[in-house]
Amino acid sequence: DVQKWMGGELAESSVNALGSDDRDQCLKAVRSIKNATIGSNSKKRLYTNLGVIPKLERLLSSGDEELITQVVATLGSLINGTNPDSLKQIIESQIPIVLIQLLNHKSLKMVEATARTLKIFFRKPNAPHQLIFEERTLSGLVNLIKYTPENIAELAATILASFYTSRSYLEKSELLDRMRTYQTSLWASGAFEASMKLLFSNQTKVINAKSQESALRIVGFLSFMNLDICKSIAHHAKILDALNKLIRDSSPIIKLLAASCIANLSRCKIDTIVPLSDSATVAVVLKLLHTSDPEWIREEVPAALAHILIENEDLQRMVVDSDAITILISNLRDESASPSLIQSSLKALAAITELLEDGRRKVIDTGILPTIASFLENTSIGIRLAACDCIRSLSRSVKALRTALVDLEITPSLFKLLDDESVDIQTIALAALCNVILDFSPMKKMALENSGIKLICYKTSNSNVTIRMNAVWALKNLVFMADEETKESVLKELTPDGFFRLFKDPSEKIVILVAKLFRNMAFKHADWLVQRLDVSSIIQQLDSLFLESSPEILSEVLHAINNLTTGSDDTKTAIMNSPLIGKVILCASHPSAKVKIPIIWCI
Amino acid sequence: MDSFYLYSGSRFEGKQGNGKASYPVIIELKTVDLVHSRFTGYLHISGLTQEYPQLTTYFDGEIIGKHFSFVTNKWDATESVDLEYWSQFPEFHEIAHRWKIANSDDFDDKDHLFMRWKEDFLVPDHRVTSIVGASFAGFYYMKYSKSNGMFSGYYYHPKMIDKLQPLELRYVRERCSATFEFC
Repeated sequence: DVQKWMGGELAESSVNALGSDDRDQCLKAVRSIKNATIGSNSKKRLYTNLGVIPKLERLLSSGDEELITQVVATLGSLINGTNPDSLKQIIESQIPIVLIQLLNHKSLKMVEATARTLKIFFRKPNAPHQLIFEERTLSGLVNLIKYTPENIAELAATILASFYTSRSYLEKSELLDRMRTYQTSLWASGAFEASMKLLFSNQTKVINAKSQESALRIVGFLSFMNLDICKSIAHHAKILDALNKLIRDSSPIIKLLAASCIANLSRCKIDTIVPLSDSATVAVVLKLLHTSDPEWIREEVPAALAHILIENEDLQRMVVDSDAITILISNLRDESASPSLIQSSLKALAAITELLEDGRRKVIDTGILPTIASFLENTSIGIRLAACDCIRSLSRSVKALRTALVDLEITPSLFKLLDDESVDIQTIALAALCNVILDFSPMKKMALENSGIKLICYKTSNSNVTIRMNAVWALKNLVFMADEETKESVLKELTPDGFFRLFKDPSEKIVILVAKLFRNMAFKHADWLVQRLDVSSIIQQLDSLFLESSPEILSEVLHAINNLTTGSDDTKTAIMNSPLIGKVILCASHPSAKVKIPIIWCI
Repeated sequence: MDSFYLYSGSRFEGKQGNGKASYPVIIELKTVDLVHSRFTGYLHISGLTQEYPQLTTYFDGEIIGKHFSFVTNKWDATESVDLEYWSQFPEFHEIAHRWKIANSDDFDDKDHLFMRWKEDFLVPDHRVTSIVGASFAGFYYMKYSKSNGMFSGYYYHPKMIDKLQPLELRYVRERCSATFEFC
């Protein structure tokens, strides 16, 4: 095709001209490439294949303002398409870092062009968002919001907020540490004050809407499950008034983001009057579930709902009783649904079914489970994680374990996820397995075959504290009312030394679980346990736990001692003659009921 | 101390039925959630049918009070059936005059709790939906004594000729205890 061949020739010569010593030639070439690629995915692909990106990168250090501005715009065009190669090459180069540095440039024209390109760049899920959170970048962006004209301020705010919108990871209390670090940096940079400025300034209408959206995203991110920041925010009465107004805005996205902020503040239960009650806030969001204008808001509403429902039973009840489940299920069944919509809907379902049996039964009765199970093998980490979390929520039910979940044959998939590339997924899969391997679960047997016990025991020495915790939890549940054979398999893998080592975990939450594990091991098998672990080691270990231990640990130790005394006379005598009994008697006057109740068992 | 005998793994044994038509029963509680007035368990009954000399079903328990009313309003039980069965328990008469609005306060300082138990599916195979000679389509009206862990009650099925089939169970003493939580 002559035109195509000529286009190819022209393209090649433009790309070559980028290396020219003649500055005007160079500039002409950049402009021509920019114009050619805008709006044309095939041209973007063509030029990328011709090696345009490294050449453009070199020009960024030319020092020539006009030239650089054009290069930046061209890069923006290349990013803004469907060609994954262009994006990949840019991500792997120094371009993002150079562009961020250019935000400090004295020429506002350059800054604006750069900000525009960076806005497009950071909208992409694969973009290295952690770059935004470098201290200098944060303060640079905040300065742009505070001190530059509104069009640039809006771009800066959107870049700052893009971390929030592009995250594909779940934020649950156990996975929050990473988020806390980002929140702290963002707060320290003055982003909140900058956001306040955006919410209250008199801007042109169009810019205003976009700025408000970004400002609300920033405030929403800052306030999510962060008590300290919420306390600071709540001191600004102006922000509460603003949120109260914005939740009634005509724009669905502004409503949604304002609702999220209000819910975050309300969750922290600070002594300030939060604009809206929790149920009123949820009502707003439930209504937004029916909105599909703009179309992309369908993707955001379920995720926002999921955040609001975290650990809140009353609100979960409210949502269970609404038509939300029906809408979310139909999202999952929608063949044209985007990955973001799927992920968001799964997140919401996991949250809705977290605490209430009614919610789980309602979801299971829709027959959606096989579809959810299929998402466990999706290529997107976010979708796998959300699907896994759904399964975990649903597995907190004896009925579900014995019926719908066993029909799914979910156990092999969960074990496979223990080795997922994402640590977050490993954690949640392990949590689901904790429930799947319970005594009354028919899937327990399958879990134990195929080196299931070995895998779980191995995880008890993982460097990640939540994985360790879930692994010990799984073992505790595994040996609950189990036979000696099962307990022996566990002890064989852990080894007696390994078992005692677990008691030395730095995390108290884990030590409590280890004590529970021990109690369950001793249940009805005191003689076996004493023979396997050696009675003096047991006595020594339990004795050491009496020192400065919390009521939770003491309670389990007492139960464990009680279980040990139900063995043979020899076992009983050994325990009764040990220092443990004196300690048990002392516990009878412990202030905590948690400690006193096991004493009644002992008697 | 309401829940001393009600915990995961606690067992109760006794019998269902009268005289010659009486069958040994053991129940094992699986989950106990007093906050939501619910619990779950297995019910084993022996000798009920030839095909299933040992029959185990999963059941849901509802405790009357904060979350569940004396008025059943499901499982084909009308209010007159409710009154007929609840009235079998002498302790019900104290509260009979306001039975429709009873709540948890009414039981706080009493020795008893009222419950309904509904069997849902067979264990181990939940897909079996019907058994010759036996049915779990009905449900039990039950009373529980906090002080000694005894259950007593009656099975109701709308199509049953042999109405008011009694069920009585007492706690099986256990010296040791184990623990689990859903993750």
